[in-house]
Amino acid sequence: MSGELNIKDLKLDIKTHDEVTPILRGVNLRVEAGTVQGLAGESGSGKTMTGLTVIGLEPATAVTTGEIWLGDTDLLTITGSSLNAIRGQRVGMVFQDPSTSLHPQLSIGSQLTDHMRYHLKISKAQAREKAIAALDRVGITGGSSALSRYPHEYSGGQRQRIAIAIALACDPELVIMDEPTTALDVTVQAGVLALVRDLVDSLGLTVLFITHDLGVMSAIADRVAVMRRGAVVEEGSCEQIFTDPQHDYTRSLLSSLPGSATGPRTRDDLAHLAEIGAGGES
Amino acid sequence: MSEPVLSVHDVVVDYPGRPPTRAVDGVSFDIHTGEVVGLVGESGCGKSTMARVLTGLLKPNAGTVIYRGEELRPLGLGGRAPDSTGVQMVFQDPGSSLNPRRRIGSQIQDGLDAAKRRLGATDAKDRPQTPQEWLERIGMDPEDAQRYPRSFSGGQRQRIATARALAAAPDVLIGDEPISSLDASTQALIAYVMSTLTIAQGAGMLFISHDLAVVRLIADRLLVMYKGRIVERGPAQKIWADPQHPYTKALLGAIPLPDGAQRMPTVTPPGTSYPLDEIVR
Repeated sequence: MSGELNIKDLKLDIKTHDEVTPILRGVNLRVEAGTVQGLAGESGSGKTMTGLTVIGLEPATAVTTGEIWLGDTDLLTITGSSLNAIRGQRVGMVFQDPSTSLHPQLSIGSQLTDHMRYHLKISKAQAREKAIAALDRVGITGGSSALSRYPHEYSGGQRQRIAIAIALACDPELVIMDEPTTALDVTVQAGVLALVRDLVDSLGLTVLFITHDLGVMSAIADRVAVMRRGAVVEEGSCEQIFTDPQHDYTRSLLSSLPGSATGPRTRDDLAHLAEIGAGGES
Repeated sequence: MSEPVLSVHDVVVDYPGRPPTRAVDGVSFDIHTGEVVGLVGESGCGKSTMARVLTGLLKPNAGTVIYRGEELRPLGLGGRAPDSTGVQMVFQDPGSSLNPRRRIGSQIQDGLDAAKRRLGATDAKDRPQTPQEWLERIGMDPEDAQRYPRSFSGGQRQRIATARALAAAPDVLIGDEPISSLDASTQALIAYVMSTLTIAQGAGMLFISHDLAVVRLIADRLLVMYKGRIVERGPAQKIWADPQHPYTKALLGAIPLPDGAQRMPTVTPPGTSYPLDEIVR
């Protein structure tokens, strides 16, 4: 299993009838196999669009150039039905909100086994067996009875675990996680983060972890790329990004964040931030 | 301490169902002028239900809310009674709480009109009296009054929502998760701006949030809510530095800090339940 991801000069424009809006302006990012690569940035920075483009879910009006290498496959050159062999099998995806990403009217079992049977060409019974193992791996107990239950019978944290199980069911090399803990309470989030770390370490999985929450980033990521206006402005080890940021943007981001080394610690610090007009607003 | 401006006594709220869901289970606290009270807890703990009770949007099943010495009247069909507009609210998502089809100047004017109706001739008038002055006060351009909400960023919209609420000259401002839909780098700043403007106007503030890391910076006192009860209350810095209640400890331990240490937050086993006895600091 390779799992190395290499994004080279990825550009993406959205075309409307008479306008072209650049969304990604040349993203370069190399993700080592078996690591968690964080992708940080504020809303509109292009981090979600980067993740969607890797798995071929960019909007139909998007025009892309560049290269996205997964192992020795350039994902950008693959279109149509050939993409099906990649999506769900070599690359998995976990979205922000499991209450909308899971189908409310389909049982957990069918959501877990449909793509397995398609990709792995296995029997229903084999798929069920694998599904039970997949649920067990993410901490959802109940065995075969869990397969006949529906998403509404589970809490938000459990649903996100189920979504992770679905993404991992076909043993992908790479999983893209877009704000996977943002919709969760902090105590539930802690459990899901621990699960992701455990899966990466035990399965040798590569994860592209997208979040705006730098606290979460600091806990989970091995390396962090900071995005702004459609490009990566800084990339480095988790420790370096948080303790010795090189780019001005990263520095200003951290200095406005409570809990970071340079962040506000008291009300007076906030008063100072307000005075110098920090915060990257507008 | 002075007489509280808003005082909550043993409020209980049940949502209908079989059996009914007890969202708030006997909550009492006071808000004084000039102080910021932080109400923190996770989803389902009853904090937003409390916000709805305090603004009269929801009638509690038991208990009372005393505002300026009188029981707060719940919202009727004809809108809020003029004398209850002294409790104002800033909602979570300024993208939906501001009217997209009205200019922001006219929306701030709504607040000013509410103040006029309630205070009439007794108004001290020591605060901005036009939408333009309010925009200046929140650090924006007076010319912006002519523009629509869509022209502004999330942080700017939340400033506008704050101006609209404060233009009504409230005695108490309630912020229900007012920073959680904003970018991380603006959250602490907007929380500071909101609380500072509120205090400068001589009002008190209840700041409801799940984000303890930000709340503790702006709040004087904290109320930690769990399963419809307040389980710990006291000075914000004291609780942050040294939480006593097992739930507060779990909540604080679960917050990941942006320090680059790759330190996993503490995981509590699912289904852990905590005592409901209150710890007062």
